[in-house]
Amino acid sequence: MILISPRYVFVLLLVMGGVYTLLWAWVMHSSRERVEYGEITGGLDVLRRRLFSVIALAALVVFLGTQTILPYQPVRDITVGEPVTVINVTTSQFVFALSNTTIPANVPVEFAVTSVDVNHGLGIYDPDGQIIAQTQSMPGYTNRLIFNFTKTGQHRIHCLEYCGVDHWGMEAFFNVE
Amino acid sequence: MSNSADHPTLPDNYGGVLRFTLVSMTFAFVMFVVMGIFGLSMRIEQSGLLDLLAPEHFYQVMTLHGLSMVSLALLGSLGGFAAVIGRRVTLDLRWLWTTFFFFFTGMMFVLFSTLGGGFAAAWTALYPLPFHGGYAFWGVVGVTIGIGFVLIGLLIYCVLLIRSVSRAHGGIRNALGWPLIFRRTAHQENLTILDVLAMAVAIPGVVCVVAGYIWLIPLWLQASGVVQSIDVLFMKNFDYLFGHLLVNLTIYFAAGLMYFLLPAYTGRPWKLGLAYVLALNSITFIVPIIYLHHLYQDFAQPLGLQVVGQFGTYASVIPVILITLFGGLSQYYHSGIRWDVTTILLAIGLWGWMFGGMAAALDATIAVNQVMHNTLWIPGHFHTYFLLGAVIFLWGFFFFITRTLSGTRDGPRTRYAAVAYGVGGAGFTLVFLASGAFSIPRRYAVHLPEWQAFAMTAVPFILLLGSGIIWIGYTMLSRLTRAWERTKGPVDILLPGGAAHGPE
Repeated sequence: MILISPRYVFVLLLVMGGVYTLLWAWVMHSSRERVEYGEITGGLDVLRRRLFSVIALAALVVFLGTQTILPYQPVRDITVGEPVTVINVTTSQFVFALSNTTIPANVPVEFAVTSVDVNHGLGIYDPDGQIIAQTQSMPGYTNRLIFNFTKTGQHRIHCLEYCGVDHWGMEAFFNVE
Repeated sequence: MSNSADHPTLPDNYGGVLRFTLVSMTFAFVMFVVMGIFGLSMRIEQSGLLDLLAPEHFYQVMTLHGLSMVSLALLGSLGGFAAVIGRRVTLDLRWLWTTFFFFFTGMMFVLFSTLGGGFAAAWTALYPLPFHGGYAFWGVVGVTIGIGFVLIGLLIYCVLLIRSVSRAHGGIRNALGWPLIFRRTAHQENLTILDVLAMAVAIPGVVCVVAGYIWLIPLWLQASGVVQSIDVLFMKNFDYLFGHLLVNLTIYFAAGLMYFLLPAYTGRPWKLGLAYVLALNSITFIVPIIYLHHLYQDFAQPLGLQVVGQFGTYASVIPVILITLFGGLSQYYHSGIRWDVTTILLAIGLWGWMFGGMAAALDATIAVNQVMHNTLWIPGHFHTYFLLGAVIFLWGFFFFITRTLSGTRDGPRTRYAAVAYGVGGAGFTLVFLASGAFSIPRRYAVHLPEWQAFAMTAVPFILLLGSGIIWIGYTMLSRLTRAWERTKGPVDILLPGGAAHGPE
């Protein structure tokens, strides 16, 4: 199971955004000197067409590539495997009720998540305080999240869907052993 | 005296259109400042520096901040766009003022229902929270009526645009530039990028209103006891469909202001070619499906819709890059442009839109969203492309027209205000994004001690941003009276001879 690290995503943004920022600054700097538009429109048209091809191709490749790491059950059944245990999670304002607070490490487990009142979000944080998985908790539906914990220790759950005045304090803990 | 005497190509009622623009943008700006102060108070609360807001008040302020910001930004962009498209087609003033009436009334409903009625279900008011939050009944009803009023205002404006622009070009298909696509003609007489944009955005505008009412009516039915409950997933889909469209429309209308302003400064036409027509038309069809990326964590949503959400969002990025960003940067490139508050704000907008767009595209990737959804990454990306993208285009345009209409000069240091806006805004939004990278949840009234340093870091940037906004605002508002007087005679927002920048 491939896990995306939020911090690497931020680094990726800084790299992509940094490159764009340099390009942007170069364009703005170039504005000090005027060149007639007719002299550059041909080159710009060519560049635009090439840019379209590059962006469209890159978007398609990333789109197809990331379909293999979707967090949904049909994909996780293949990439993680059939769950060996199910943890039922029932949410209500402002409580997570877990059927089991000790979860085995290095095997596929399933969280079956539902709510009795409003929407909540089951946000699972590893012992280092980083989100590793989440799913919404909705009244009338059961969302199934399959996950394989590779890190042992106390994990924390924070609510990740605004659910009312004590949303900020809605949390729970479980141990991975 | 009619406008046509001095400006033969302008509709006779253009001065009236400009008065609508001035009123709408002034109201939007004043509300923006007030809501910005509320925003600052929330970040101070999260930093632990001061105890300003108890959680129940924090969430009322958060709800008011969100609903007001999206409404005022939309109203401001509609007001600005009227001044641009109103130079080309005759817009019925009664429709425009009716639009303003519905926006103003709707926003007042929201104001009183949140601060007075205690409504605090966030601007998305995700069903069934409005009925489980312990809010006053009239607060729930008041906010939903307020949203309903804003949507009626939007509907009136969009229908007016579709009607006026399509009439001017001999039908909807012509106004959308379809002859350029299907008959492969190289040129369509008198059709500009602004006309096609108006149509391409107004049509999903109507879809937005319909979706909004499909969400609102069941809420009213439950509030009145006709039904006991509604399917949560159904409501979530329509909530985000209308909400996402509302924000997207704002951005596209605001982009239209840049399409108008930059050629006026550089003398470089923003020509309408086949690529632009295709890209603009794609907005009409793609924008209504990209809301699906809000529901990635609702695993009960059919898998196909999740995949379509990611594909549609990626597809929507392409026209933005090719038209707005590439076109905008081409306007600046070796242009010899004069740097004033407007051109600085627009340049910052070209940075913020792209930077925020990158953060949004990353989050629209399902595998990334799994670890980013509803962290502070989300307000990070939308504040970047809203505050430093769409909204900054609005204030750039508002600054431009108040200066041109009033015929006043800028002080030598006014440009520093625009720089303060950009630097403060960039710092403020980057802290949000970094907070998301460290998994800090959004919409938390109280932050854990280890999270508070992020909010603390944001505060000085917000103060810098605020100082820029206040400075720009003071300059704009002090010119309003003279600008208003000018609209009573023959008037244009472009100066004779095509000079855009006005007196030195």
